[in-house]
Amino acid sequence: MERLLEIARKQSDAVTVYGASETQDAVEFENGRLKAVDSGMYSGTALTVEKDGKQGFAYTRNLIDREGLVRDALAALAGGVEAAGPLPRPTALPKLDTAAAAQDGGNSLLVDECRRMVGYLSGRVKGQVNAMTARAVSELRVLTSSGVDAKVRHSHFWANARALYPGSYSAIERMISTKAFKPFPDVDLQFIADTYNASMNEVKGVPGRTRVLFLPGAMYALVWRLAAATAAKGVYEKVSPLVGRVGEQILSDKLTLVDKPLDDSVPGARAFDDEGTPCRDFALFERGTLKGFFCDRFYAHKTGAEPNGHGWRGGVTSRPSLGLRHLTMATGEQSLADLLKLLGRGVVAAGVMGAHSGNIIHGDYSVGLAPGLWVEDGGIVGVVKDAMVAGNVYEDMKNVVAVGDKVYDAGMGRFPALLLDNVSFAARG
Amino acid sequence: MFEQLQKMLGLARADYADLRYEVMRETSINFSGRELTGLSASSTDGYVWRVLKNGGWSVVAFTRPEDAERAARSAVENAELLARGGARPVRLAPVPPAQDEYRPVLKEDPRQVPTEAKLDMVRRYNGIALDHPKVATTQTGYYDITRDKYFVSTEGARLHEELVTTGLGGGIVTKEGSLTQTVRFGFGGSDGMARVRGREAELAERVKICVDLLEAEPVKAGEYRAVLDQSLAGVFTHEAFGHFSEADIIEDMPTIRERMLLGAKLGSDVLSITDDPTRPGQLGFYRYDDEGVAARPVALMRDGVLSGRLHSRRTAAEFGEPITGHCVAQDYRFGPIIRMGCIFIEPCDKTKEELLAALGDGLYLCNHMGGQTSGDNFTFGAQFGFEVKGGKPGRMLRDINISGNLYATLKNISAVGNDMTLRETGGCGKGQVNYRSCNGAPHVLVDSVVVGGR
Repeated sequence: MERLLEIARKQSDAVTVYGASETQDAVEFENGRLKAVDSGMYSGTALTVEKDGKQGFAYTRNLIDREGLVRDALAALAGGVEAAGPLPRPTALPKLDTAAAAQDGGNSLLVDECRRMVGYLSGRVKGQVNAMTARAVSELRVLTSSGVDAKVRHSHFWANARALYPGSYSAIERMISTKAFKPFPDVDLQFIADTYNASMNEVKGVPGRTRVLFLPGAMYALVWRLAAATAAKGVYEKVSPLVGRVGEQILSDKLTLVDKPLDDSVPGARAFDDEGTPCRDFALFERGTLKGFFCDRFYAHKTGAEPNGHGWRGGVTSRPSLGLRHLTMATGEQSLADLLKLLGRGVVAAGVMGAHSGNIIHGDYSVGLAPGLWVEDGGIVGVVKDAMVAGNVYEDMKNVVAVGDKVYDAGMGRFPALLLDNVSFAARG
Repeated sequence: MFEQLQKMLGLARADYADLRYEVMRETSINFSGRELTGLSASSTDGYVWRVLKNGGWSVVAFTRPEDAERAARSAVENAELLARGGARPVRLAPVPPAQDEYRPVLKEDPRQVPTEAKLDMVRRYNGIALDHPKVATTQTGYYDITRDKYFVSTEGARLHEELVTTGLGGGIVTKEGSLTQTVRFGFGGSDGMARVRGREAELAERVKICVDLLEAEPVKAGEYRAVLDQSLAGVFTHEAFGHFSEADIIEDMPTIRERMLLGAKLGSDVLSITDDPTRPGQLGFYRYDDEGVAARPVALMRDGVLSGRLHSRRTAAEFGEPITGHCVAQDYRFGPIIRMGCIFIEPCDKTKEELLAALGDGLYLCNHMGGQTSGDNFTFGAQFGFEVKGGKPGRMLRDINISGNLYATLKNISAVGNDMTLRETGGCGKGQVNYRSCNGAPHVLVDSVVVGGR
């Protein structure tokens, strides 16, 4: 990578080299039986050059022809893509504990753990049980002509268990994500069994406005809207409904949403982003008040802000773009049982479908429930089908009844359960 | 190339092995509003092993040729672990080992067009949208992707196929006060760059719809009868029905498999559905899948009766059904899985006006905004719609998502139009992205859908 940097530096004003490699293994059990054991080994290098206010990008899987890669990136300058602002300066980064020591056991360890999870659930639920375990070790380095040389090594272990409703892959599930292999907690397996067993009967919900409990696995449908509106891109393009509202109370004061890249108690902690900008904890909403907009180098440059460490790549084949990788929502004080009591009568969104649809930046959502659980007198009485909840996050997230007392790994981050009042619920009559 | 691959193939100590090598070349151009935010032309490559050992079946992807031996060893170890660990023994349906080379005939090869000319074209399209005073921003992107694929197997298969995909599309955002609305557009295909040229009038029509949406009313939640346009009906066919026709989805889901029996009457009498990757000129065209099997059309439903299923070699043997050539990978990073190629509802005889007249009162829903299924239930977004009274479309509606049950909806399709169109841009995300996933349908009348709304 150093040689690549040197070659590119001689022909441009600023250079960023990004190198990444990863090995991964994954095991799947379907319907209680071992289904797949697959692996992957990937590596690659991306190069961004900046010259005369323009930038060019190229990548390769095999860093054999360095001059060729530089030629490709320089050729891309002709397109006229505007360069981002100044490269980050080298700075002392906090030391994070991101990788666990290698563990013995090979893929047998993953198979055995899946088998244990499946065995636990199969004895407790009548439905189909699926499980997966996976692990990855990755190394990543960002090298810039401004002197940044940042490296990180990550280890990651995931496990997911699910009990599926008949005729469907809608499921009650939980996921764990850790730096090293860890047995899937029995308490989470028991949650799956208890919740599934309580909701086996199909029941009719009552359409109209009702209380809705979003479990962590469904929270991304709401958070996605907030993330879209707090990206600096929406400020620059003046399409975010939050433009000019920093310091204003937007959501319920029960809600705090923070990006926490330095939290190395969970996997994936980062002291720098994929552009080499130092990361820091960054609050989007604190007690419901809008605190700021997240940006990468490009949109910091366009909006006159400082980059705050949110330039992330999908891999070596993509340029950095605005993103949130370490989102978490502050917990409240209510256990799941408390939340169900507070819900009284209404619906639990245990999972949702179609969150990608709708006017996201405007905050609108309209999602199918997969599954939706109907609650009467604070207890789950069954599953509702052909059912949807819809609304706007800037209206509905003002009506927060309570927040759960524990975060779980879910799509887009780590979230607690959230009980909202007065949400529109539609179902087949 | 074949010599190097044949040499590598000898590294796998297995009962069967195949090796796929791909070079992927991609040009992409992206605008966000008037800002050119990305332009790149790059090439990359990688390999995928698949091995069968003692009935265990494993896939390992790798990117560096020097890792070939380590990757082969890992694949064999995984396969042995599966065999020891109680996985159902895998058999592969027999196929004659194909030896062939195929390059598509293109109407204007994007690889021969200078990047500057592509950039000018995208800028011009983007400008059509941005010139309207109510358009706040756009996301406009162009891509052309070439997958240059080589496939060898220990059975003697030796294939080289090129797939060239071109696409231009994105989203238009209009704004009035604090209200924003979004409409998507997309042109493209597998038969050359000519597909994305001369579409200015269609883009202008999309801009008009997005502007009109600023005056539209949010739909009211409830249960409705509805006419779905070609785009929505095509997405329904893909998401709700098509995925259940993929044998790998249902093979270990007994409660679904027992309903999806060939010969079962699942749909209304007017409903026939086909998947045909070999249909010329459409987005999902290919000749051989990524396990070296020649693709063929499959009649999935005829007059409401389930009549076929999409298979890999492994699932064809497992189900005891004919091989179809539908095992496809996104690119060199993935082992192939069963995918639809080009799934569509066969057209019948009704015009759109006749369907609206048959609807009477209800909704006319247009243009999909993505869909998702949980198996028996599905949810799709519609970009816009119209209230229909007495068979006449009236006021425009927005914020529309529909939900339904697959089996009920298949029976609730009470009439099918004569105006089938096929989608030009793809993006199915079943584990991997299939940007060539094609679907289509004529207009259809559905007797019951649940619509979410405030």
